[in-house]
Amino acid sequence: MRKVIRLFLSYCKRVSFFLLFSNPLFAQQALSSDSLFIEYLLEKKYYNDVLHWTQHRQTFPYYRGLAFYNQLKLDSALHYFEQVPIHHPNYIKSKFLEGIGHTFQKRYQKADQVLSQLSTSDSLLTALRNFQLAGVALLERDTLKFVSYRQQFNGKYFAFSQEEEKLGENYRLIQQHKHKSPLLAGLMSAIVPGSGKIYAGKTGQGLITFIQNLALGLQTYEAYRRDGWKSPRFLLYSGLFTFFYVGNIWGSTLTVHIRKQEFKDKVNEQILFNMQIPIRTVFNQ
Amino acid sequence: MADSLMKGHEYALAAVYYEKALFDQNQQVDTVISENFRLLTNTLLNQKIQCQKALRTFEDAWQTAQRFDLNEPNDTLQFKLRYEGALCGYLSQRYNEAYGQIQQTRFYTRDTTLTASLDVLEILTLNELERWTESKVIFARYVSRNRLTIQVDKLYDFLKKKPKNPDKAQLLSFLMPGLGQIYAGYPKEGLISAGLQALSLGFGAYHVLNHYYWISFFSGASLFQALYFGGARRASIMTGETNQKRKVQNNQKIRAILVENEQKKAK
Repeated sequence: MRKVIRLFLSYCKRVSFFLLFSNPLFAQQALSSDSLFIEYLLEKKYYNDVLHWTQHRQTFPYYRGLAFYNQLKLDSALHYFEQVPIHHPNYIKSKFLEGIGHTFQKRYQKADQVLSQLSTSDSLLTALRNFQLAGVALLERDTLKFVSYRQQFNGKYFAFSQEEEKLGENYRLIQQHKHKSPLLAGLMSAIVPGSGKIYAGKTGQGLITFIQNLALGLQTYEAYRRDGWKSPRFLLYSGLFTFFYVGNIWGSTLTVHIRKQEFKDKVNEQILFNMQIPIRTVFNQ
Repeated sequence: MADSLMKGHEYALAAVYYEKALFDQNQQVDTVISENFRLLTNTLLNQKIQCQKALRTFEDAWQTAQRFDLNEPNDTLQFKLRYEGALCGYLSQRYNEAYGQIQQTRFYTRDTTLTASLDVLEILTLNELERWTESKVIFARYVSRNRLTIQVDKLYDFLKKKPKNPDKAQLLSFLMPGLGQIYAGYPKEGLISAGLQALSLGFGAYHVLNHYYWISFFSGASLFQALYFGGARRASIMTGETNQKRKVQNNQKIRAILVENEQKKAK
């Protein structure tokens, strides 16, 4: 009989032991004091400390993501944000940061995917999500998609009503941008050196190129008149002139391409900036 | 935990653990006697600074040093904390702030036998701030206290040489091409510049005399003009470089002497 009682008591001890230590509240307490410390570190901007502290603990992908994001190490940040589980209190924030992170890294399709798959119940967040998707569409220069998202801009939320307008302006800027033809620039430069560059938008460079070609042309002509076409002077200057002349044509064509790229980069930078401000305002990040 | 990490040279991780200890301390601030709290806080901060110095993140060490609680009645301890702050300032290249800290330390520490050890740091800081006359005074004091056989005047006699003036260098180059660079301390460059300018002038003159007007104007004259003005500007830039080189050299000499002597004393 006593043996049975002893066995029963030891069984009770084991069960109660097990119940106590698998108690989620107990584990939660240890977790929450750690998270308090991590949030303190994040506030003080000790991002490296956050990374060292959470290195061997698997339970903090969100904090590691934040620490990397604030140091602008976006690929590492995205790796951790992807791991944040759906029941995490900051899941939605992680997804929005993931969206803009992929957008920064020019992975527009992935950003679109992440944001589209996110379900939001709050009307503010739904509007924000719509805004971010509009931004991505504009960066992809997908006019139809952008217009369809833009129709849902309601301007109700102070956090990003200004940005909604600015995005509209960016769109207008893109639509109204005049297209310059590289072929035309090349032709113009062949007729009057430097004119192609002025057409491309770089007036100063165009003038300088014109003067350079004029100077070499005059010298070549003088060399020809004085020495004849077999003389070393003529060969030297005609060689230089040809080099500069051809360079001027090629340069004008290239300038048109460069200006196109410069415009695209400038507008994209503005779009990205407009996308980021609401995220900062809404999520304090 | 943190101390064992430090011994194992895991400085980055140790620094976080010290921060955690500080954080835990702060959570209990109401239940601890203020004296113990201050002592423990300062100790933990000091340990974190040692880790950050080992990692050579001196800017971070300086920021941590700003968190010291300096209301420490114990003179020796307070001196140690203030000295650490000044040292972090010097290491993070905040020389003006380091100098300010040094003066404050001298003011607040009543025991002058302690402040003697500030001299080395003060000399080094003043040198970086280019205040060599002041640094010479303290160096003389240091030499006499340590009974070294160094002639202070000879070491500091570079002070007699005035620093090179960039505007003067440019003017010299305008007067005579190449002269500015020689004044700036780069004689070879000066000769090359003078040579090139003479060549382009000669080229221009020869062609004018032989009735090649366009060639002499564009290839001769405009080339000469570019070299002339460019040379003058380069001369003034070179003076800046020479001054910088001299400063580094002189500071290095003095620093070497100080470090050698301090190492000998430590043994």
